[in-house]
Amino acid sequence: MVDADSRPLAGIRVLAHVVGIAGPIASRVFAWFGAEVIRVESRVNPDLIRRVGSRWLGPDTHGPAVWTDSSPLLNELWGGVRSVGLNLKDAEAFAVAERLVATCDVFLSNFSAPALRDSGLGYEALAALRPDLVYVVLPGFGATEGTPYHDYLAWGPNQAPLVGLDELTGWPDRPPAAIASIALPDYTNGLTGVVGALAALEHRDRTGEGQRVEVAQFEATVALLGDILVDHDRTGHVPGRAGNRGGWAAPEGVYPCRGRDRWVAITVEDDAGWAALCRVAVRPEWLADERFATAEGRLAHLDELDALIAGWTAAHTDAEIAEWLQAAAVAAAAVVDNAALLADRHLASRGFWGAPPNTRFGPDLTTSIPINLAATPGGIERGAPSFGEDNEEVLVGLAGCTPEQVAAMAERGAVWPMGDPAVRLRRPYLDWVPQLLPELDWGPRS
Amino acid sequence: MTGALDGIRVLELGDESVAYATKLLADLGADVVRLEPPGGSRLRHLPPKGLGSAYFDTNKRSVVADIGTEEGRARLARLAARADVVVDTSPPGHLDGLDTGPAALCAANPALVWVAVTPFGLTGPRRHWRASNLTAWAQSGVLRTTGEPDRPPVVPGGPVRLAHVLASFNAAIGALLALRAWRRTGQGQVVDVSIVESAMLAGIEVGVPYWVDDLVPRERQGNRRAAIRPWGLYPCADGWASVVIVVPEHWDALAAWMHERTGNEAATEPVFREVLTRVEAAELVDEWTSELTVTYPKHELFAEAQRRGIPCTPVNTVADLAEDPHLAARGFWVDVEDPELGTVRMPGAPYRLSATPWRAGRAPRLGEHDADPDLA
Repeated sequence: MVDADSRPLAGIRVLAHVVGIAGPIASRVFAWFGAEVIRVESRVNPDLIRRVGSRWLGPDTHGPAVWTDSSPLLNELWGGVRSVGLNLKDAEAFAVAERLVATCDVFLSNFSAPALRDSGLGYEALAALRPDLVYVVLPGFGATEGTPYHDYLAWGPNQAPLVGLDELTGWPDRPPAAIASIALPDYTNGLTGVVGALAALEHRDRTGEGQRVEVAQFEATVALLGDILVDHDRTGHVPGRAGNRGGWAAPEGVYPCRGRDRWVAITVEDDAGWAALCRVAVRPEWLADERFATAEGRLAHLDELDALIAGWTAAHTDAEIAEWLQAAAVAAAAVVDNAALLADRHLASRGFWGAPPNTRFGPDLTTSIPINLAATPGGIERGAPSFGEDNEEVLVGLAGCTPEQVAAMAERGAVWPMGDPAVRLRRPYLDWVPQLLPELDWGPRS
Repeated sequence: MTGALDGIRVLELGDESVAYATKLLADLGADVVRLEPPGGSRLRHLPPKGLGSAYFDTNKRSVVADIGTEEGRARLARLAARADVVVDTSPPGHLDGLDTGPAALCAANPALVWVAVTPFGLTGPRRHWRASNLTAWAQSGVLRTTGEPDRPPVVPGGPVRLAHVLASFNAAIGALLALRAWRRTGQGQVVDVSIVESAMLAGIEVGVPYWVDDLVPRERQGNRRAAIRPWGLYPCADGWASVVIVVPEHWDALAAWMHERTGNEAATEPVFREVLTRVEAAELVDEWTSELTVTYPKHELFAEAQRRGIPCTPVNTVADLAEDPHLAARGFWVDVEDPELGTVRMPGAPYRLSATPWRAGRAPRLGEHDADPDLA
C-alpha cells in the first residue's frame, strides 16, 4: 500500500499541460512519487494517446468517450494523475486555470514555445500568479525567437533521426534500421525534464525562489552523444552503423538460437570472459586459437568469431545459452518477447508490475517506475483517469468554482465532462493474466 | 549565481553505466568525487579513444584508491562518511562483503543516500546476472522489436549506450528524490535501480501491458511501423529523411506537395486522408513519398517540409550535428579547456535553468584531486 505521507513528492502539486509521451512520462514520475498531478486536457484537440484506443474495443462499440479512455498506454503514461477537461481558449475557463496555477508548485508542459506563448501560458504570465513556481517546459527546439528551427514541428518519432541516433542504428551494408518501435528521445527528454524540475525544487526549498527550466528536446538528446561529438571535433571521425558491435568488447553480438526468430545477445568484455565462453561451448580449439587470444586479436577477427559462435548457439535454446554463460560470469541474455517477460519470476518478485484500477476498466496491468527507494517507495493507488473524470474535485475543490459554475461552463463547452460515465468495461486479458501474476491485487471485479 | 545542487557531495564508485547520472548532478553544482581504481575508470579507456571521460566526467573531482586494499577501503569509508550521496555500480553484496558497502557505511552515516545501479537490481533470482548495454536491451524486450525482419535484432542507438543513459536518469532522479526525503526525515536510504528495468521504462510502446491488451506480436519492421503511413525513413538525394504523418492536416500538406513536385494527383484524393486507407496502400504511399523525397537533399527537404507544416527531419550524422545551424544559433556548444586535450568542444546544457544555471567545466585528470585536504 502507498503511504501518501512518506512519498518524497507528497505535498507537491503539478499542473501538467502535456501531450504525447515526453511530457506525460515526466508527470508520471511526479505522480508515482506522491505529487498531486493535475492534467488539463482538450476534447477538441485530444492527446495522441487518446486518439487510438483498445484494439478489442474498437472506436464505435461504445462511442468516442469510452474509446478515448481505453488505450492500454494510458495507465503507463497517466497512472496516478487526475484529469480535468478544460477549454483554455474560453476566457472564463482560462481564468479558472490561472487560479489552479496559483495553487501549484510546478507547471509542466511539452507544448511548443510558440503554442505556449500564444495561449498565454508563458513563464512571466504564470510566475505573476505564483512567484515561486517551478516552470518546466520541453519545447522541441527551445524558446529562442528567431533561431532557425524555432517554429518547426517536433515530435518523438522524428527526433531520433534528427539527433543522429537513427544513423547509428542498423547495419553497415544497409540503410539505417532506425529506432522505429519506440520514440526513444521522448523518454530521455521527459526524464531530463524531471532532473531539471527536481533541481529547481531543491533550489526553491533552500531559497524560496522559483524559476524557469527549459529543456529543448533537440539539445537534451544531442547531449547524450557527447563523447562521440568530442571525438568528431578532435579527429573528424564520423561513426557509422556497426550492427550490435560496441567497438571494444569482442565478441559482442546477437546470435541465432533454436526455434523461430530466437536469439541470444552476448557481450564478452575481457580475456577471462572469452576463456569462459570457450569452456561453456566446449570449444578448446577456440581458446587455443592465437587470433583470439587478446582483445585486439578478437576485435580484428569479429566476423570469424561471429560465425563460430553462431554455429554453437544455433544448436541450443536462447535461455540455455544465457543461463550457461551467466553461470560462467559472461553477460548474455535471451532476446526476450513479451510472453517471456510476463512469465518472468525475477521481474514479478521485484514488484515491477502493478494493477492499479481505473474507473472505466478496473484493474489495469502497469509497469512501475524503476526507481526503488527502500524507505520512501513510490507507487500509485489509482490508474489513469478517464477524460474529465476529476473536474468536480479539482475545479470546485481547488480552483474555487461553485458546482453551478462548473455546470454552466460545461453547458457551453468551456468545461468538458467525462463522457458516458456509467459505462464500465472489463479488459479481456483479465481472464488469464491474473493467473500469471497472482501476487498483484486484481481487486474484486476480476 | 549558484548551482541548484551546490553543497551536495556525491561519491561515485561507478562504471560507465552511471557516468551520465553524475554528470547531470555535477553540472548542476554538486561536488562529485569520482573514486577511480589505479589505472583509471573504464570510461578512460572505452571507445571513442577514452574521450568518454572528457565529456561525462565534467565538473567532477578524481581520486584514486584500490578497493582491494585495506588502505583503499579506509579511504572509501572516510569519503562516504562525508558524502550526501554514493552512486555505486558494484555487484549486489560485493562491497558489503568487504565491509564497505551500504550496510556499514550507511550505518556510519545515517543520512547517506546510497544509489545502487545494477543490471538486474539488488533483489530477485537474477540479481547476480551481468549485463552489457546490448544484453540489457535484449532482456528488456525492446531489442526484439528493433532492426529488420531478415536480420538479427539490432541495438538501438549503436555505440550510444542508451540503456546506461536511461539507468543514469533513474539514478539521478532517485538521488534527488531520496535527498528530498532526507530533508524531511533526516534519514538516508538505499535506492535500487536496475538497468534492464530502466530500458523497459522506455519500452512501454512495445511492452507487456500494451501487448496483453491487443495480443499483436511485436516484430521487427525496419524503420517502418505497420500501423501508420507514411512512417519512417525515405530516401533523399544525399541520404535519408524521416517523414511521419498521423494527423489529416499533415497528410493534406504532404499530398499537395507531392502533386506540385511530382505531378501526383492521386495522392490528393480525399480517401487517402484516412490513415487506415494509407496503411492498406502502404507500398503505394511509400513509393509516392519516396518519389518526392528523393528529389531533394535531406536538409533542403527538411526546411521545405517544415515550411509547409509537415513533420519531417533529416537523418543526421554526427558531422551534420556539429554543423547544425540551429544548435549554433542557440549557443548550444561549449568550449572547455582541458590540460591534456586542449580546447574541447562539447554539447552544452541539456536544460536551461533561469535562476541556477547549468555550468560547463572540464573533466579531471586521473587522481588530480588526490591531495585535496577535504578528500583525505
